[in-house]
Amino acid sequence: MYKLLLVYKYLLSRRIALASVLSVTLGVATLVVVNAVMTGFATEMRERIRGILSDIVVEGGGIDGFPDVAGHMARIERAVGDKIAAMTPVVETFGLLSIDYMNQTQTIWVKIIGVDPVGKTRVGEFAEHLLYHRGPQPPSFDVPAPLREIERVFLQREGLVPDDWDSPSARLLPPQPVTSPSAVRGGVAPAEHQQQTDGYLDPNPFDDGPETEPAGAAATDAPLDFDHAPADASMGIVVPYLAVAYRDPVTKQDRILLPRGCPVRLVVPGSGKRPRPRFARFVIVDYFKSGMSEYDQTNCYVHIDDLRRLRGMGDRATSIQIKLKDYADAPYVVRTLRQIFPPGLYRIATWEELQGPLLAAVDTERRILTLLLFLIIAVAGFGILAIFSLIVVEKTRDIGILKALGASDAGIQGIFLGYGLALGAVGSAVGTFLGLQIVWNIDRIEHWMSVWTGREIFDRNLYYFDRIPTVVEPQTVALVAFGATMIALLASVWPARRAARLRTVEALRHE
Amino acid sequence: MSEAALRWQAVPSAPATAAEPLLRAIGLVKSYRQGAWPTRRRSLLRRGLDLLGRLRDGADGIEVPVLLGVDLEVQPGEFLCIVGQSGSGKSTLLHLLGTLDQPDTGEIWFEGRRIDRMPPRARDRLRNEAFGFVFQLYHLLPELTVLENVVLPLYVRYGLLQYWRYRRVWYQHARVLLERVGLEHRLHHKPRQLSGGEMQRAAIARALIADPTLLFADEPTGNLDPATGLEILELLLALNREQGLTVIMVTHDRELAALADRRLRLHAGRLVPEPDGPQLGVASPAQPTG
Ligand SMILES: Nc1ncnc2c1ncn2[C@@H]1O[C@H](COP(=O)(O)OP(=O)(O)O)[C@@H](O)[C@H]1O
Ligand SMILES: [Mg+2]
Repeated sequence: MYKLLLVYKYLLSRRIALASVLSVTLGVATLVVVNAVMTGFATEMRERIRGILSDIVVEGGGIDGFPDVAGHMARIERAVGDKIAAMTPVVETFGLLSIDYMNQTQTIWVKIIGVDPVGKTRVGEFAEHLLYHRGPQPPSFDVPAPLREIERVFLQREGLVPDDWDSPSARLLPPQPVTSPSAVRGGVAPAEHQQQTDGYLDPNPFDDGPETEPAGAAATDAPLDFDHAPADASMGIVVPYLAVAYRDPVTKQDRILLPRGCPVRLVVPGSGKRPRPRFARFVIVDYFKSGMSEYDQTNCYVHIDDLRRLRGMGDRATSIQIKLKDYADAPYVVRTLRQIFPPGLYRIATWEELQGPLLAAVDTERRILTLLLFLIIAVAGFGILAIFSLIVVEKTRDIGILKALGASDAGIQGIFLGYGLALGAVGSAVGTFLGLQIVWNIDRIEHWMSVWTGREIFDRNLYYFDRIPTVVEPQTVALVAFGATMIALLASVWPARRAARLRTVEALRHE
Repeated sequence: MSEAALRWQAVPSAPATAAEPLLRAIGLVKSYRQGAWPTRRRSLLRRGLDLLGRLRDGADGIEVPVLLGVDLEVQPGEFLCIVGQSGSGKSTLLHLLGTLDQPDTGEIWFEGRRIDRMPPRARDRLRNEAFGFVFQLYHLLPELTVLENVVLPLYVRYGLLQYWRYRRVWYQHARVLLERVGLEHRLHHKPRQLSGGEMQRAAIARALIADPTLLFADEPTGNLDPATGLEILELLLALNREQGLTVIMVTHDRELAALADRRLRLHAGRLVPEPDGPQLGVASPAQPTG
């Protein structure tokens, strides 16, 4: 009983001891904030990645993919259909995107993803990441009339389209360009051009082995003029936002260099044993902006059928994306699918496995930061130890009195252990409260600090967050508070034992 | 008195059969080693340092003999006064008798039980239940109010549950005692707000709350002016007379000592009878030879 009373009285009377737990408080607050923000970032990122990738991906056949997609999907449906919410075939390959801006041509490499917009929307977030997409209907790669008009203006400006654009003959046979970048590489007869441009509509490109295309390969692989594709046949493409946007360093505003409707040129490898480049002109219908810079720099989306036709790959797909009803079933579904599809030919993985290194890196980062901050609290523990030792010395006579009145050694030890525990608990509680307050008002605090220091602390444009993402995990907060309390308790063990071992008469004699 | 003195100077080793004394000490010897570490068990580091010191000095520190064979018997209801020069070991003796410290050799018996070699827990309980202590420097806990200080021995004895159930009774008891010592108007003051005499009264109330059999008072008047000291002593005397409380008081004030039933002088590590009466005078330097 006297232990509680004295702990209570000491808590009230010893300001210096409260100062010593200030470091615990700050450590706990920092830990809470850092964990909340890092978890928030990680969660946001995971959600974005997951939205882009879908829950489970069945991949196979390299960039040429596997045939009989419908059959594959039927087998998946049969095996784990009850667990699956939606699935969609996807064609993924690499390619080169050429864009013209202010008479300069820039070519960048991109990942070209052919998706069925309806199916893709069902398996993950897609529409959400399209800059101009609005409303509940699934996105589309169709080029609406206003964009066609813009395209026409661009093509006319480059002299690729005659003024009588709308005449049927002009659609079918676009004229030779007056000046075009590819003309420099020229030397190719218009007839060959025509042959090649038709080539990407070749219904059966898998026959083009060396036997059927002997010496002619050199000729057919010759550079080809994009601009000879039928003008109105150009298909819609979603281009990566960061590839076409430019950040004004002064205003911090993004400017999109290429408007919607602007034509771009794409080179993709054709399918088959000897992949040859395939060329096509696309029209920008939207921009892909997920907030993950890796994706926003490289992910180009086109309609899966357009890509298949362009690459001449029939009804093949390189992967099937699956969305589960309950993600908890993922291990089971992956296991089952691995039995159906031989592992050498197919790769079946959850989105987490696909993004393993990135997610692991984020987790590692968080763990290391937590560890470091706990070390800070441990340092605070040594402060508590020092101050407690002083308090024990200061309280020596009181300890003697208590022993004279019949307090046991264990009781004396209990007073100081209880005191340490109480201080730790108070420090942790205040720290937790402080940390949570900071987390809950982090945007306001960030704004205030930005104004105060004159520089932006959190660049929202960089991450495309309109607010700092935070996730408070109650168990993490509890663990942090508990850990800090334990550190304070541990720090008081040694002084408490010292207090208990004091000889009564010496203690009474003290001072 | 002299007969009694003779009797305890020839104490037999076995406990007396007739007129069982309340407290009996046999051949207490105590010496201190200078510079001893103030904890009971010495740390490894300390032991290492000691060893080094011993290697250097060639001896086990400097032994300071304090008590060289003290024999004592205290009858129930007695008011015993121990006088002696400063540093003669009066406090040491009182600590031994009150089980705050252990003698090097010798025995202490209380109510027929040997108490100097009791296990720590039992000793703590004995102090809490049977002994009361009053110290020269009052020794109140500065964080607690007067009332809480007085109830402290009960806090120590009982757990939270009993506190919850009996706290009203305890506080009532404490109020009565504080009234008895004349402190009823200072219940909720902190010790530092009190005068020396008031603090000593609070300490006496604290020593009485657990209803002890034996009260140890170590120079209770040492820090007080003569008038206040006399008041405190009269309070102790009254408690002794009215309630039959056995008191062992240490003082070096002969005038106050003269008021006790019996006086012993601690001299050269032994107890000898102090001649009765104040007629010897404060000025008299005469000391009995041990
Ligand atoms: N813990 C100790 N270590 C060393 N010497 C001590 C210790 N306690 C007491 N002494 C010595 O024992 C002697 C008696 O002390 P004490 O009992 O306090 O005397 P008194 O109370 O009669 O003034 C003194 O010389 C003192 O220095
Ligand atoms: Mg003394």
